[in-house]
Amino acid sequence: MKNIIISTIIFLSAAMLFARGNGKFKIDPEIIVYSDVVEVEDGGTIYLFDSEADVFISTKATNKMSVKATLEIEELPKEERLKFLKETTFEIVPFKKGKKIIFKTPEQKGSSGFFSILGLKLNSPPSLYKSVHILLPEKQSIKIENKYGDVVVKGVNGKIEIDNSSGKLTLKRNSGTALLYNRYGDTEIKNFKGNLDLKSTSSNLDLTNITGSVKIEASYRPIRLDSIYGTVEINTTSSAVSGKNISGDFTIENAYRQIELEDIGGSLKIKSTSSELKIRNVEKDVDIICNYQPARIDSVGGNLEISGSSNEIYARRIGGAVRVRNAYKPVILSDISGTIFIDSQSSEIEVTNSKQDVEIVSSYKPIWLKNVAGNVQIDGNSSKILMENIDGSVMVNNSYKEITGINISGAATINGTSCAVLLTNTMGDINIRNEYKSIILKGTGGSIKVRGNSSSIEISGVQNISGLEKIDLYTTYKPVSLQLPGNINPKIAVKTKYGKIKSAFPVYYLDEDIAGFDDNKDGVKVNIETTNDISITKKN
Amino acid sequence: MNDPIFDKAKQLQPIVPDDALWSKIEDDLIRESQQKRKNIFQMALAHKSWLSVAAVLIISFSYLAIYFNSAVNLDAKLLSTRAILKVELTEKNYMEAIALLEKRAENQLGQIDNELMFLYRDKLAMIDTQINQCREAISKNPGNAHIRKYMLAALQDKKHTLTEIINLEIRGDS
Repeated sequence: MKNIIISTIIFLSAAMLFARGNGKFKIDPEIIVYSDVVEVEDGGTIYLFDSEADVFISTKATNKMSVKATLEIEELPKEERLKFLKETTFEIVPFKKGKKIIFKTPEQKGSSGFFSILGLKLNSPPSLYKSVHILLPEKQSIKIENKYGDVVVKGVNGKIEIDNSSGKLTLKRNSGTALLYNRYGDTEIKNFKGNLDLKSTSSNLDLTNITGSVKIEASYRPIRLDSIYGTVEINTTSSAVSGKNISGDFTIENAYRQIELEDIGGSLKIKSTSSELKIRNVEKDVDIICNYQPARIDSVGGNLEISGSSNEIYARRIGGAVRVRNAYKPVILSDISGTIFIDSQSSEIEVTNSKQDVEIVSSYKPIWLKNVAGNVQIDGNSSKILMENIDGSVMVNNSYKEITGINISGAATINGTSCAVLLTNTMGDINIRNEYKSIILKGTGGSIKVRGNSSSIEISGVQNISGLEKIDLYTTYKPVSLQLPGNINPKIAVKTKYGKIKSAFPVYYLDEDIAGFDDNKDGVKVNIETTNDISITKKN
Repeated sequence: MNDPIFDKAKQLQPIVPDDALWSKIEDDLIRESQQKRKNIFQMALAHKSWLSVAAVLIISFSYLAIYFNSAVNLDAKLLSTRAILKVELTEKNYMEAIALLEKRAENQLGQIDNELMFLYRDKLAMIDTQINQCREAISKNPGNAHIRKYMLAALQDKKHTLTEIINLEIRGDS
């Protein structure tokens, strides 16, 4: 019994080690080379189908095509070998407007694989490797259908059609047009003159120095573009895309992977889901639809339009108008030459250095504008608003949160429900409507009209007031304090129901029987009404 | 001055080694060593079969250790038997890892955004197609290094994708 066990162990050990390769420790491959040379006409097409080989194509100045096909096969018993080689075909035949290269080995049946993990090669077909080297005249088209092999094409001038699977596809120094489909293998194209139409599945794409338009349909692997002198159109399921030096328009559709583009000579259109965007130096318009991931845009020559949702948006140095729709995440813009329109709910908004008008619709989060050369219009809701250095006029609707303006050269029209209002150095007319919160105006240069309700009013630093300027203040339950320059001769009418009146100027006590001022007469008119105290002081 | 201690010391005889003692020690050593040799030999005789088994196992495992620990050259066009075995073991390891990851990923796919879920399902289906195609090609051409390389790449891709799904869920939780 013991002897049987020992013998079995010895047999199995030997079998594991030596069973594959017909008793040899290694496959001893045999290499068989086929070759042929045929004449081809300029402008013809070379066909190679079902090759399952590494394919190398290059060109030379001749009217002949030479083909060298290599078959590397593991060592077989003599009869099997002869049968295999007899059934192997290599020939070049006329086909359509060109030649077809046929290099076929016998159809092989698959092994069961049951013993393969033990190294037992009981019924495995022979292992083989094929390659095809083609040397052809430059002005030829090629059409290749290949799998499980790499394809390299160099120097061809014509139509290049390649359908490859599970192999790397390399094109270098070709011209004409290219129609490529590569699955599960990297694709590298360099120095191509002509239009490229590229479809890929799980293929890393690397394109450099293409003079022509590029159209890509891809799935999950990264795409890298460098120096494309034409338009680019990419439609990808989920590929990271990076590109620089693109002279034409760029269109891209993507999801979940980063898009990073630099130096685009044309316009840029991006439609993405959850893709982080990094865009730099686009000469023309940029149009982006995106969500969830940050979008960073730097230097756009034309207009910028972003339809986002829950993305952080950062844009700076934009030559044209900017339109942004977003929600929940910050929108931060700076150095914008055109008009700005932002509609972003629950988004923190920051605009710095805008040369034209700014219009903002937002809610709940702070809005900060600094250095705006045009007019400002804000439709906020519970948004804390800070405006600094506004050359144009300001129109703000808001609620519950304070509105602060510093250095506003134009008029300020503010409708703030329960908003405290603090304006410093407002040179245009001021028109404020609010309730419950105080209104403080420091430094004004135009007419002032306030309609408050339970809002205290405090005005100081009134300057350059003359002619038909008017100060018209109305509130309830809260006091009004007004400081006027000493060098004017105002006509002041005041009315209070329960408060006291203190004035450094003569005042008319206004009641229902006295008519208001005639606005058409010269002089500064001051009209104050509240149910609380009124104080008018003179600034010397 | 006569010191009684010195007087007694002068009367003592010098110590001389006994020749018989050395030969006795030598005899004892030889006897002991012979006894030990006999014991090992007797033990070997008693367990002859098991020692043979151990020897065969040691040789076998030594072969296997060399066999599997040597590097596989995937740049070769046709793989050696050794390389095929090693690649197949690697594939098997990948498939086992994938089977484990699949269970975890499947649970989590149900909890992520639908669009992302469909995207990942599509990607996994695509990888499975590739794996099946490679498997079929390998069954017809088992030693082709190129096909083996792409099979491994597909398995790696699947493992990576499943890990990505699981990590997505972890990110969502945090």
